[in-house]
Amino acid sequence: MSIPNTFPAIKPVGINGMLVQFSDKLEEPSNRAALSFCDAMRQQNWACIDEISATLASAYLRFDIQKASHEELTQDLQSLLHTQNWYEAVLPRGRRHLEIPCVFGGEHGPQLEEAATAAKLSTQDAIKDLTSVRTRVLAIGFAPGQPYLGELDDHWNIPRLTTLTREVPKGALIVAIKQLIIFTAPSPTGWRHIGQCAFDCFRPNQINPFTLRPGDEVSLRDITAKDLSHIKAKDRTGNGGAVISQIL
Amino acid sequence: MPVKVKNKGLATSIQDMGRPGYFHLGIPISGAMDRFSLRVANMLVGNDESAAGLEAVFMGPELEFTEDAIIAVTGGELPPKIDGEVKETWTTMRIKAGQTLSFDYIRHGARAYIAIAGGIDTPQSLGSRSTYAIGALGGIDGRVIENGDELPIGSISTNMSEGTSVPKVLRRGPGSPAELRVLPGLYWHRITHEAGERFFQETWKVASEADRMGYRFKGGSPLEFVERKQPFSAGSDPSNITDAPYAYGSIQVPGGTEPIVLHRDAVSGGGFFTLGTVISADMDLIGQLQPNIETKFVKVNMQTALSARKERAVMLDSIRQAVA
Repeated sequence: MSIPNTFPAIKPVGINGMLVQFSDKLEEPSNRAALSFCDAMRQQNWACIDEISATLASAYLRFDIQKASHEELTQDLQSLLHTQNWYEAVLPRGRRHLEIPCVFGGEHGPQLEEAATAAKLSTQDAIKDLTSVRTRVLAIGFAPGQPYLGELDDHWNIPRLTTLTREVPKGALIVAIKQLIIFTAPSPTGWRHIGQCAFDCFRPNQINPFTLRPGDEVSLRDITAKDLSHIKAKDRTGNGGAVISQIL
Repeated sequence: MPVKVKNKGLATSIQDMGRPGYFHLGIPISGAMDRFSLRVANMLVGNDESAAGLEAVFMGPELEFTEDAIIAVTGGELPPKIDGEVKETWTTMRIKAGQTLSFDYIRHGARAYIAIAGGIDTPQSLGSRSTYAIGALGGIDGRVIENGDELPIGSISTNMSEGTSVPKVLRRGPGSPAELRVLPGLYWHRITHEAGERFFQETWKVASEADRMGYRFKGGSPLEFVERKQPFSAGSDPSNITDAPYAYGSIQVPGGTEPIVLHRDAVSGGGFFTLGTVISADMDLIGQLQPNIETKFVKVNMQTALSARKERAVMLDSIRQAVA
């Protein structure tokens, strides 16, 4: 583990934001630190904190400048940072595991072959690889409820494309730089489109529109295109056939 | 007592003060682009300042009232008309059942705020009535208003009298060139000293890509970056970073060419570095900028940003007193 000694760093973002950066790159220990630190912040329940967001390698805090100055908050954060080695912290409790059905390749994942080649795998091995790994929701963002899943093994360190794909559909599974994303809504992307899920990341008409939280774990189950249309026809929850269980 | 939408105008949306608290799940704060003006419009009709009103962009809607109402229009100069007769902006008006509110063409600014006593009473989603069309939240079934919609209005007994007006000195709008104060931020060190100086010296212009997600500016020099070792998972362009949160007001500069100030409906994060943030007191002004308006970014420190915020609070207080 190589964490530069300039991290963790506490930096103001605008007037009422504070960022606790655990790294400037993506790596498991800094994501673990971000998730655990955010969880600890929630438990601390400081009066000045308005919102806590975990991102890939940092904790973003929005605070009330009437209740704490930048100096006061920085000091308190510094003290909390010193209470333990966050890079080796135990992950928060209450997380869930979701097994999400996904069609790989074909018209549902037109860039699977290309992605597999970039990862130096056959398409069959690529599917086997991606369905045997248990990924973590490293962060939610970019679009409502949209998960960054990772980290995949090193051979999945494949670059983003240099050109944008005009649009991939809602539920598209895309891959780059050791991460997967399931898209919330149709969107352009510079990552490779390798599969399709019926899982709905964001359900504005439900009481709880969000199913995934940072720290949850996701595995993918290989299904056929026929299975997918079957699931879509039957599913009223938005879970897209996912099997959801608590992580104990 | 619904208000009927006879003509929707151009992307007229229901907005309140926004939807804070869901940023960590990828939901932007949304809400009025010029919150100052919406607050004042609400004051003028006796509403809670955070009540939902309409945000009209460049072109006003045409609304038919089915009951008598107290209304006000603030923000950019989009002159209201009641049954064709031009009325004052920033002023309490009375409209009668059967009358139609329409608008003349916009004189300056970009967005007008229409408050109706009682407030627009559509269902809240995630604690707000603000329209976030991309996420299908708020508004009318998650969208902007359409011809034929009926807007439900809450009931309120208001004692605001017709003709109550906000003194001109207290009507806030961008100057010329517009000046946006900037707190240099997280990744300022990624650009060269000269590039940083130029960013503030040069005059930029609002590009045509200017909406609720963000305002792009053009016409200044491309940034020069300081050499770096590309961190894992950051893109290869020097303007890329490992995906990180974008605070409201963040200035991202994809490819180092044209700065984009992220506004109320912006994505919650992404892989571009941010130079800093436009201070919150000036974010309202951006909501009033039209394409091609000349703009200067002005460097400030935290102290100035905090005083600017106080000044705006004082100004709102003065208006509260003036219209009470």
